Amino acid sequence: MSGEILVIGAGPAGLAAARTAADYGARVVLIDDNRQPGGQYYRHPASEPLRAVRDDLFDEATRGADLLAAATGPNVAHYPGAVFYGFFDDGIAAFAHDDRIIRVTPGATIVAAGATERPVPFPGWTLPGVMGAGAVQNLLKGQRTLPGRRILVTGNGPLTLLAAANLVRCGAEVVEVLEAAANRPPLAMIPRLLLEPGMLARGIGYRAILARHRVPFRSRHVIVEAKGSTRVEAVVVAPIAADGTVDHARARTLAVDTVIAGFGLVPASEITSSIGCEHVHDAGKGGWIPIRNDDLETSRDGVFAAGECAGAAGVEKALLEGELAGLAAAMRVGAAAGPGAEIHRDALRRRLSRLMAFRVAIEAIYQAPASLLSLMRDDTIVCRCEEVTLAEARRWVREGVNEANSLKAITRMSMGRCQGRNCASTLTRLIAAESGIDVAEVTPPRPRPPLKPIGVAALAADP
Amino acid sequence: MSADLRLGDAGTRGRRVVLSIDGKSVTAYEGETVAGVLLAIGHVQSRTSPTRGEARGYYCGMGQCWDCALVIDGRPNQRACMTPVTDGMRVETQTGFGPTRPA
Repeated sequence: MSGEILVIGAGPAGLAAARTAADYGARVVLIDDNRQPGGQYYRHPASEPLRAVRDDLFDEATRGADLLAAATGPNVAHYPGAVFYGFFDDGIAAFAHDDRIIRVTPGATIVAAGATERPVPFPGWTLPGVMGAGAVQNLLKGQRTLPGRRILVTGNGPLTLLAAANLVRCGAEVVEVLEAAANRPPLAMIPRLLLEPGMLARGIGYRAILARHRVPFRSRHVIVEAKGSTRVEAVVVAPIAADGTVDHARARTLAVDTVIAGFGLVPASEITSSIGCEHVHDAGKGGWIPIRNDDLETSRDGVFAAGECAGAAGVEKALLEGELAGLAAAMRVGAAAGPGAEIHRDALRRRLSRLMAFRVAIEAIYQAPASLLSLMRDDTIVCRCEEVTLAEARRWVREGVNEANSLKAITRMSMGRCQGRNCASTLTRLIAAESGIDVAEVTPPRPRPPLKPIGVAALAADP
Repeated sequence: MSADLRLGDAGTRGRRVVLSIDGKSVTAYEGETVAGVLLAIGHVQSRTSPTRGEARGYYCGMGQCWDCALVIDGRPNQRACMTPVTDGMRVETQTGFGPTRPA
């Protein structure tokens, strides 16, 4: 079948893309690793009774019901629980679904792979009880369950504040909320903040929730260590001094059983990287992102990228980009054309441009101090899958292995089951720090298919 | 809040399912994932790592990190965060890479 549009990822961007393309009459193949559409933002329980538990707080899926319906709408073939395998010769894309490999030859592809938690290793970060901000959001939204009894929230960025506010609203005991950045808008950024008053008000509202419940919010503070043998039992926290270094002299120990560590998001660029799209490093957007034109098309013909995987900047941007990419892809396969489509496209571009001007201010408020990279000790695990320590990785860099793919081959860092999602950015930062160069000058390791583990049964059954 | 970490009263969470965790019978609710059940009852360790023998558990919560992987119905390396519970399911904490042959 040709002329169809492959959408990879059924989160906000992927769903918006699928719905828009389908509305214009294009045929869409929508794949996602999850069993339900919605990605992380629209995550909701699988059963009706669970969905009703605290639905006053978690109404994303209700508000997004129209969008979620797109997955089962006309012109869309949705493959839940499908793992993208890779792109191969002659424009063939393959994915594993129900222990089978399925091939398509799309006329256009929209990568909407989302983002992953930014790994910031600190001593004890592999202990059970330490989890990401996205992990706790999913637990609350998808399971209506709390992560623990006494909780420290530490990190950097708006998602972490939201997670803290949600925990408090659900009745969890949050002992402190630590934000690594100074968390003050530079004066020059105030006009940009006012571009999106609704989003600004929501952020202020989250702080008010913490204040109302007397939960201390400390900017310029960070976790230094999580302690325990088989689970978190205590944490050490410390202020960050004016010069950006951690002030260990003023460290305090807190008894907690759970740590929410959310240091922002890293765009999931492994799919666009593995198929050879050109990327650029953008620290404010979370790291390496595919270079795109005004239609959100990457350097590879017919491959579009939308949402967090092309720059982590929140759900509003993901929805707009998904819609724009869906429209542009529909134009590419000939389903959309004419002045109506062009007016639609111009309106989306204008709205995106205003939103991105607002995001510049958010990035400035949450600019992280460099000391976040120096929380590790020699014996801290940098690669969770292959259990590589900082000392081991650094020894090879100092012996001259200062190129990411070589370091990967020697240490096995980023060759494990997570395929670098939890260590590739540490690996490149380590090379940059040891070589005295900017992280933007270190090419990340090249992801190779399969990008996620696929059952051997699926490969064996493939002719 | 009830004795476990679930929100809402037990009677409001829907149909009950019974599974076993390391041989112990545990009541859960339809729609929950294995990870949701484990965290609700405070069973935070999913596995012991293959090389250093360290405790690991639910970390990314979205199927990316594989740290919550454990043995489900004899199949090793199944992500707790991505697996819905079913009646009669057998969940076991995983050691290293887990059993090489389905039980």
